[in-house]
Amino acid sequence: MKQFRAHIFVCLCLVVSSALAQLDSIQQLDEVVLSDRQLQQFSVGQNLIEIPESRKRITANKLSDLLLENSTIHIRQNGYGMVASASFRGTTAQQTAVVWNGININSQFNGQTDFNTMPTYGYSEISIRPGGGSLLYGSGAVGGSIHLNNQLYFRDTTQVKLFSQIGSFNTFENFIETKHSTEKTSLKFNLNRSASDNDYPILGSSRTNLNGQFEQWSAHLSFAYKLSQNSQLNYHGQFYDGLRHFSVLRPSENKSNYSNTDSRNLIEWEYDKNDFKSVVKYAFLHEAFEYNQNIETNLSTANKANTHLVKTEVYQNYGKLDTNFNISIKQTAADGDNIIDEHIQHLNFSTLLNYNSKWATLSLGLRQEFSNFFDSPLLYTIGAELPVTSAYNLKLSHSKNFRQPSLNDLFWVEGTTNLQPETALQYEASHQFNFKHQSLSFQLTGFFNDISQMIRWLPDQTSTWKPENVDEVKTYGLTTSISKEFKLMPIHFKTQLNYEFTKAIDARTQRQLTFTPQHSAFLNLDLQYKTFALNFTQTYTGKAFTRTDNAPNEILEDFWLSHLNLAYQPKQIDFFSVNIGFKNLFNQAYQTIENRPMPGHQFYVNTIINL
Amino acid sequence: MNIKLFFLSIFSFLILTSCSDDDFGIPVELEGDFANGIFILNEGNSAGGSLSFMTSDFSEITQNAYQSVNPDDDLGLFVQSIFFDEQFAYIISNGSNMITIVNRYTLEFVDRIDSGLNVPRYGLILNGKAYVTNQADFSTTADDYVAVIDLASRTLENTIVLGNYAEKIYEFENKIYVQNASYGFGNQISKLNIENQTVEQNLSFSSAISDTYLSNGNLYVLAQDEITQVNLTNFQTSSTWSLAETHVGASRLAVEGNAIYFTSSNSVYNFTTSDDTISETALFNYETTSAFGTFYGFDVHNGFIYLSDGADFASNGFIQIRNSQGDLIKEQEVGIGPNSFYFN
Repeated sequence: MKQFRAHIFVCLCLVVSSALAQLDSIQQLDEVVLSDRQLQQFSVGQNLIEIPESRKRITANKLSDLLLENSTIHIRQNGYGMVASASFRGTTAQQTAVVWNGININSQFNGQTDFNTMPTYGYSEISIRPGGGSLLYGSGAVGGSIHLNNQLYFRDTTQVKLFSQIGSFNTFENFIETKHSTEKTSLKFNLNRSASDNDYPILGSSRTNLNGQFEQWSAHLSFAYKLSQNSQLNYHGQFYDGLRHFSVLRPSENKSNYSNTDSRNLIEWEYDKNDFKSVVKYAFLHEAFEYNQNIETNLSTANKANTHLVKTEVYQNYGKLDTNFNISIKQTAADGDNIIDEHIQHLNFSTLLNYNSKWATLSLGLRQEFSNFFDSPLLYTIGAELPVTSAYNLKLSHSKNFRQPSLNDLFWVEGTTNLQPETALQYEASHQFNFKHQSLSFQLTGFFNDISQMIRWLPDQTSTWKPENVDEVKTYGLTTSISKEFKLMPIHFKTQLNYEFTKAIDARTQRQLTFTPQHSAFLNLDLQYKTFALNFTQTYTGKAFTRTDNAPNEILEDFWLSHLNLAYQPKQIDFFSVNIGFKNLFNQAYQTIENRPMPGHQFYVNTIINL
Repeated sequence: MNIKLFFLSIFSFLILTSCSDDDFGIPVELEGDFANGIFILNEGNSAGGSLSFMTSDFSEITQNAYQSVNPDDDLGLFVQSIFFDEQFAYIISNGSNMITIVNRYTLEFVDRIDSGLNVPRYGLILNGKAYVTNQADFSTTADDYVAVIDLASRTLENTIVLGNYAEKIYEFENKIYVQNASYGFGNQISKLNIENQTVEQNLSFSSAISDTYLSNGNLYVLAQDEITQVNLTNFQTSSTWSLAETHVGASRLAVEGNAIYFTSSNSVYNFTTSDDTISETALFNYETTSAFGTFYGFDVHNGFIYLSDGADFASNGFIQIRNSQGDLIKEQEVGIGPNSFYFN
């Protein structure tokens, strides 16, 4: 309660002190510093979906929630706030690349990203790119990639944004951001804290979620400086530090906790003249974790990894032809209690060509990587976009992608250094209908992925678990979306409906992969009336088998989740807005990992102040 | 003698011998759905373990036997082993640090011990007390211990810290013996003194111990390169048999009378205590796709060989029952990760 009061107090103080500040306006046409220059230009034939800023404020600042409510990406969580992974189109969590300002940041240890360590407010732009992307984003961009970018503006202003939220089970989300820019410099800094007792009742039992408390801090810093008319220096930094207890089912179980630190730094020097552009980048990524298997005995194990990356990108335009050539070197060094002290080195070359004409946009790319522990195949991508009519656009894409063995795969305890990368051949066709006058758009995409050499951990003769390139999986399906905007008297409606059908078949057993639902859907309905906005979200996740033999009774039940958010922005104090929301409105019991129950209904209230 | 009586006598013989093997004498109560048959313990995955029950004529199987009797409860995570007294079965789950006490013939829930345990493995009962090995922290053996539980109050009375791997536990003539080896590490057997609750003596072996089995006052020890017979009367080695090249990776051991059976890869080898060397010809081998789950459970009882296979541990495993010649008598699907057999 004390903490609750403190938060109210902070909110009130901020309201008072901000009375003279001005509203953040997005109408200005600014010069934008793009952190990922390739994303827009070289996604030919594929869908690139940007999640609107307005969706962030209703998803409690958790990237896992944001993706669950705004995409058909499947999110698996070990309970609320616990380790969360994302997978596209029936692929695995390691086959999902998370790309931060153009740099792949999947953990070097397990090859995946924990989506509960990513506060959504830390990024100015969040985009989803289903389908292969290894050519640009390297290992793991098999099922799709998620892009977290920090943009900077040269605007000659100073802005401050404050977000403060309290919710059920003593959950607090706080965020502060300041932006300052002149014509030559731009600076952005934000700080985020997320904490919860997380002791929600387990539906259908008399238990509560035990040992689920967490506290996480993160900070982001971006900076740009114009050295001359043609050159510029950019920096992006991200720091995360969190301690999460892992929830248990029974009080007698050993209680564990997990603390981890991530720091990511990226420095770029950019040169731009006429049709030529070059970018030289240096990135330093550090990740460390400490796992304490019993908080009473405090015997923990710790591991850390450092990655250095140097990359040069060269862009040249020849009229209708855009070219891009990239060369990069990367070294990752691991060290810790469970891992062999080793270095992995990579050298890679890639080139991309785009041909733009009135009748089509065509794209071709090649990538070859060399590593000291495994051979990488020649990767390629072919894409086409055909504007058949003004309302109908056909997109085609075919690519070869890969997922390299991670540090855990290669060097865990004794190590298994004979592993090869997982490879995937992907085919995709997308029909896009856009009826501008009716504010109606419709999209239908079919996809097929043939994944081989998939790495699976199996126990060997001495009962030691070791990874092997054993599995072959075929994933295929359809994804469709329809969106419509209309006005009914004074109310502005915006609605979007998405549905995806996915088969993920193990080639050996001909069975669906476990914990991989075949059906998923979401509906977003936004209503705007004057300064009130109502958002309703409905998600559906189909049943998932928990056993490899697809035993019909051994499943995670399908579930419907409904969320409601009411936003109000008073006319007199337009820098201020307030949201009241209900999560899991109908108290649906659900799990995405067996025996890891998620919370029932929750309530939150937040305030956003833009100064 | 009419045929019914003949079968009845064989039947009661089976029951009596099976009971005396487990050292609890003649059962006081034989009523209950689970009075005559075999329990198969399924370790389970993150959804929890289960118990299967097969009638002693192998004709009927009950899956999820515990939950069929106690629908609102479950056995917890990673069900490891069971120990018995005359009335009760004590089911250990090492992922939940608890022992579920049930009526051994009806499987009705009686009580639960859920304090004082830290990754419990195996247990036994001696003079009104349960002795349960605990692995404790995975990163060290310094804290491995035997929990001494008073069965009148069902609470922890004492802990005997071993400072060594704590795995299978045996009793012979009021002394307790612990296999100080698990997961391919550890090469000792320790003898505990229960009067002053300390480790009295250790016996070391030349290589890591994979499995042990108690039979007729002898403890048989399967190490990486040999099988040893330890006479528990004086805690001295009485016989040793070397393992040949073909037996490399031997993992499970079972003994009945003077017949010794052990597994290597997917084969079973056998010899008798009077043999000087071990035959390199397998008694039988069985079809499996499982690397780790091959012979996940293994036992010999009344001339029948029982084996279980863990398959991929993400779907149901199976058991096989074979006669002493190795011929398949019965194959049956059970739960996830079947790891042991108990003859009720």
